[in-house]
Amino acid sequence: MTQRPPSVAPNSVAIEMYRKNLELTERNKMLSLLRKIDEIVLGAVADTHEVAEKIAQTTAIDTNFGVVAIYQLDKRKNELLPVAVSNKSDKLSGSESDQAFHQAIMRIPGGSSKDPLARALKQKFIVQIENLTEIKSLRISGRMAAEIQAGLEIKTWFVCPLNARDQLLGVMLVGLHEPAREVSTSQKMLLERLIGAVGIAIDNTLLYRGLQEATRRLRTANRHLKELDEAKDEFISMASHQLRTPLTSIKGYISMLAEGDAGKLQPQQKEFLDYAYGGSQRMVNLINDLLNVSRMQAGKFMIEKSAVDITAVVKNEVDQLQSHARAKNLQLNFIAPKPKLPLVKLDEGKTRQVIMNFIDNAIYYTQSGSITVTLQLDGRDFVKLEVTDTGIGVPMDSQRHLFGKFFRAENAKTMRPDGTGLGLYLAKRVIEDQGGTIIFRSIEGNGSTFGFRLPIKSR
Amino acid sequence: MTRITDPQASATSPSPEPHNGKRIVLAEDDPFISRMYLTKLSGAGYEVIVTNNGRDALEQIKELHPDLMMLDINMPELTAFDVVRALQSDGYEFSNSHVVILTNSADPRDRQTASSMGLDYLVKAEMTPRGVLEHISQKLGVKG
Repeated sequence: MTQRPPSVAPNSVAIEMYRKNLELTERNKMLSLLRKIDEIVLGAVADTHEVAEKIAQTTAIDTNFGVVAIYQLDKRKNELLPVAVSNKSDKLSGSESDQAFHQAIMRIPGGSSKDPLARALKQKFIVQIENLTEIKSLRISGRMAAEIQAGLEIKTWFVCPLNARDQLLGVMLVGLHEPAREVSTSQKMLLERLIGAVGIAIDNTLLYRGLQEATRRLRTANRHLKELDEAKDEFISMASHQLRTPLTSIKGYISMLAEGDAGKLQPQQKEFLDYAYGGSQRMVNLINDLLNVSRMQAGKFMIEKSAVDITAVVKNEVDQLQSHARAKNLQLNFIAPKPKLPLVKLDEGKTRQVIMNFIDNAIYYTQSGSITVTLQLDGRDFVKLEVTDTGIGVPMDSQRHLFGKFFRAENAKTMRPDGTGLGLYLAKRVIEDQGGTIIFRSIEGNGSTFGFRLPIKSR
Repeated sequence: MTRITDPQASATSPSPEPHNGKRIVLAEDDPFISRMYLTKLSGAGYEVIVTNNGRDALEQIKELHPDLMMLDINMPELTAFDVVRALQSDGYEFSNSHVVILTNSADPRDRQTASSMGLDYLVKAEMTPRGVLEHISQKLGVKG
């Protein structure tokens, strides 16, 4: 860059061409350097030190800059910490002053200070000086500063603030071998372009680090949530065990009384016991619903299949709920399959729960009329259960949400304010997890049909 | 240990069936629940020996060679699974299919353990005593 036109007097065209050529060469160099910096910026955003080191080194090698030092702002301490200093000269390397230069921090001076650093930060632009000793905020002795300047043969220093997105991120200190008057326009342009790129590079590393930190926090939060879900599930398991124990006695003794194990009963005694028994059975089912939902949230929900006589299961559930239907003057009919069904591979407990929920809902939401439970073969490979009632039905705008967790249709809430909104949510999951599909159709005010199709053979 | 001859227990059976020759050891630490099953099963003709902890159950089984064992999981001294393992390691001859786990546990691991050992698994709260009776009668080939 310090080449001069040849001393022999050339014609003006030749001079002009020579000048253009020089300019183009410089421009080419600049573009090549900037491309390299861009590659660094895009390539490795992991660590600020690493990126700054690469930039300082590449810049010092590809230009005739004497030294490049990059400092990062520590906002909390109001200091600039050295993150990278180019190593180009052998004269200084390893010396006491070299080491001091690599480690010297800059204390950010007050706004009114004459320190060139203060001016650079205030103007947000490059400040040019002759001697390193002028930067009073650089924590290095005058003797060492002079040694560095002499050792590196620096004649001009540029104090360049590094900004990105209107934020000060650090400072770049660049030393040139030329005296101030000989620094070319293209060198200055390069410097300007360079500090823009370095600012972005540092910003990227900081963003990346912020992102990593946020990811780490999210992971921790996620783990805590999972632990909470597990703790909740353990608690619900424990509480369910505790609730089931007295319930076993209540339900068991009531059923024995109703079956006449303690003597023959009057019809009304039998009727009342049937109601009490139904209540205890609902409680058992409620506990199972809670357990299953908790399992799902803890990711522990599992289907355990065995060969089951589904006709017996359905018949049993219909029998159990007969007293509830009778208490509301409702007909509860079971239309058994003809011919008989083969054994079906399914999770008996959970499927039983689904059937119970369908019939129990039908009884709850029907004021008068009947409930018909139909079980039949569907094609060759499926069984189909349908529970059809003459109840309130499901409003059109609720049908889409009906199988969502905790969802309850408005007309259902009015009739029964205390429902959990879990039964259908669970039913869908239980049936679909067994390779089946839910059947549902309804017209508001005109009854509903709930049911499922399940494959006979396990997949 | 409560035998079928326990006056308190037999008083609840209105018309016990004649003894059907099948013997059951029941291990259950809740006295209300054990009496409930005792009444139902003995009323149907079974000889039922009730114990309220795992260690007694183990001893009674080895001594009395029952046709069926009905074991609660969480009991004092030994769990149902401990009892079955102890029987196996003591060289006691029996079939795992003649063990019925009768529990209120909501821990899915218990169900898995029972399934891996080939033991029946019934949830007490989901069954009635009659349901339990029908289950074991079918298992033992006794006409109900």
